[in-house]
Amino acid sequence: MEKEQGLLPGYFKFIGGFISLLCLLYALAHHFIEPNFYFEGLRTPNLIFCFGLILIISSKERIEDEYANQIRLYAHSLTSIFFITFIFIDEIQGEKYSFLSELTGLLLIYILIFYYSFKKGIGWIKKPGFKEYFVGIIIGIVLLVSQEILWTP
Amino acid sequence: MISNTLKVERARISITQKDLAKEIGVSRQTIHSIETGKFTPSVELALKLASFFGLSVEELFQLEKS
Repeated sequence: MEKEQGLLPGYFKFIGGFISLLCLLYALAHHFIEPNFYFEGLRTPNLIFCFGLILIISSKERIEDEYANQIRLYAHSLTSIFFITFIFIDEIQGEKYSFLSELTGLLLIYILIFYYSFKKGIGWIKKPGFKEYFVGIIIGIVLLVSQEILWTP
Repeated sequence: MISNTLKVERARISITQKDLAKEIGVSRQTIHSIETGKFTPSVELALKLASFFGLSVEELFQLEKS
C-alpha cells in the first residue's frame, strides 16, 4: 500500500503529545498558580508547545494508507485558508509579533480538522452542515480565549 | 460516480470492517469510507480488495451512469 515516506515514525506522535502536554500544564500553572515562573512572557513554552504539535502532525498514523494521505491533503488545504485569513487580518490591523500565537492556532486547527475528518470522512469539508459551523465557531472562541489565558504574560 | 458492493461481499463471507482492513493492510476508516462512497480507492487498493473476495474489479466497483 502507498506509504508516505516524508513522515516521522509513529512514536514521534507520542513524544510530541507529551511535550505539548507538559507545556500546556506549565502554562496553566503559570496562569492559575504561580505567575512568576522561570520563563517570563511564556515565549519559550509556547515555542516548545508548537514544536510538540509539529511532531504530532509530522508523524505517521498507526496505519498509514492512501485514505490518511487524502485526509492530510484536505486538512492542509483547509488550514491554508485560515493561514491566508490570518495574514489578511494582520495586514488590515497592522499587528506585529503575532506569528507564534497564529502558528499555535493554525497547528491546533490542522490537528482538529485532520482527526475529525479521519473519523467522520471528508464529506463535511465539501458540504459543511450546521453542526460543523456551530462546533467550528465554538472551537474558534475557545482557541482565542485560551491563547489569551495561556500564552500571554 | 463509482459505486461498490463491498458491504454485500463483506456480509457474504461474514467478515467485519476491522478484519478486512487488517487483511488488506489499511485502516478500518478506509474500508468504512469506501463502503459509504466517501472515498474512491486507488487502482492498487481496488485490485487488492477484488482479489481478496475472488472477484474482478468490475464486479466489485461499478461506474454509475449519471
